[in-house]
Amino acid sequence: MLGKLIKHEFKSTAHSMFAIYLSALITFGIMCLVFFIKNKTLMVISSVALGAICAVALVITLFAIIGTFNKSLYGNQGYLSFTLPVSGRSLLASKTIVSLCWVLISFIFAISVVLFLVFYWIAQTSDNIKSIIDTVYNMLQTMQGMPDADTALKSIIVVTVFIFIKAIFLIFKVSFAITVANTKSFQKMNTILAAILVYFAVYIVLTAGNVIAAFIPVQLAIATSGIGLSIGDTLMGLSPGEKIFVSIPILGHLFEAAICILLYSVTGTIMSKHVNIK
Amino acid sequence: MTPLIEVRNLSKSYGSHLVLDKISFGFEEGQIIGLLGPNGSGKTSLIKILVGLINDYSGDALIDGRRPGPYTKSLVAYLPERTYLPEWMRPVDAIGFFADFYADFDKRKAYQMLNGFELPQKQIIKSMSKGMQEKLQLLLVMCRNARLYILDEPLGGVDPAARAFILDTIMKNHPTGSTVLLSTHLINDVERIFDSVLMIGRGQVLVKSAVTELRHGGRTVEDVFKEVFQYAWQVN
Repeated sequence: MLGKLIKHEFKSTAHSMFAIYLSALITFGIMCLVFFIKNKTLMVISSVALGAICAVALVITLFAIIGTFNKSLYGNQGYLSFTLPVSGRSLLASKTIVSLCWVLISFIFAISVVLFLVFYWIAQTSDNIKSIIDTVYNMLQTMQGMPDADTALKSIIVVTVFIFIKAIFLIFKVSFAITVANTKSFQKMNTILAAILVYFAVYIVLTAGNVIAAFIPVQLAIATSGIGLSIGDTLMGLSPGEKIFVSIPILGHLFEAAICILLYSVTGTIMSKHVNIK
Repeated sequence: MTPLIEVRNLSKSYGSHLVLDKISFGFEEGQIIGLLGPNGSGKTSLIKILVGLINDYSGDALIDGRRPGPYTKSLVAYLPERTYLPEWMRPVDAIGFFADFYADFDKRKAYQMLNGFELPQKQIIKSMSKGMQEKLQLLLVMCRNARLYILDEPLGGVDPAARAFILDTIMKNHPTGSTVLLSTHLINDVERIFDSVLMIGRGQVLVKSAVTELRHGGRTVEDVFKEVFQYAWQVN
């Protein structure tokens, strides 16, 4: 059933997203066209347009996630969603997975647009893009403690996992806030206002948790030829004397991962046992 | 034999207003049951509890011996009093949706009924009239081979011709042996189809009876309804 829920959730959310990505594609086409025509004014206008679409895509993604969640569960569509032969947790899981996909798509889209705009304007001002890329690469190579290719790849994977956790954390906080705002305790208050209040209450509590976690000196140490763990002054999993390129505090991420599990469980229970569809 | 619908000491309140006050009743399978009561008597609250849309109540509401959950939802075909399909959907999408989630959904019959109802397959729901949307919802519910149909005011707010059409659709399409719980306050139109009636008001079950018993002495269900709910229309 989860697969079917995900399929229909994608269909449902794609309607909100389709227009924005279509407009980006059209702008991209116009930019490629004016590049060869060499019309500077049009190039500037289309670059600004693509940048704006990119920003709008990020904002729309967030609003679409919030809007779809609220409308499909606690609006009239809730009469359909909550009478399907599935559990509240399955509904929540499908919405989280699809929302996560859209968040990641919008981030990948934003990064791609920034990179594209950089290369687009480099290509306009210089004849030799390759020499510029080589110069940047050589600069990075000469930086002290720069990780080797294998370590760099592992680091990217670790950072990607952290980004995933952050995105899921955000989605669960939003889902929890909207769900709590639809319980009996808040029935006399405007749902949107209640959701905002609950979100900020949760945000403050969890930020306090994150701040406490930041004081505990457990970090992921990315060195020239490997990744290890640094606890205070002790290094684990790395050769002695190895040069540390960068250290990333990890307790905050682990705390957020644990809270994600808690929020999923609590939100699922509230959905199944405490929410009344108006 | 376990009743298909069983309610024990069920209470539900909205703030200080008690809508259902420790009501108990049960119905065995294979009947058409009229859930009757004036507006605000708690019919919709009772139905929403049975289908799992209201969760903060006390007592027990059981379908086939189980509390509302994924199992009972697979048995129940529910028609709410409002339109609930996503606006972006087209009838063809809605049929696909129901076919995906309900093992008892008859897709072939749905397409036949879609043509019979003269509903366009690919018109988005947002652009449909309320009447068309209601027809589509009725079609989706009645194309399930469910054990229990719970229909909340399917005859409310429609003209007599539409009422006849809706009743006809329900009667022709519910499988033999299935149970239909139909809430209404338009008794005159439907009393001929009921096997049993449940009248609720003032938070209580006021009448629970087979229609044949009610009709002793030449009375109609409507006569009994008027007698029972006279208070609802009394001023001071």
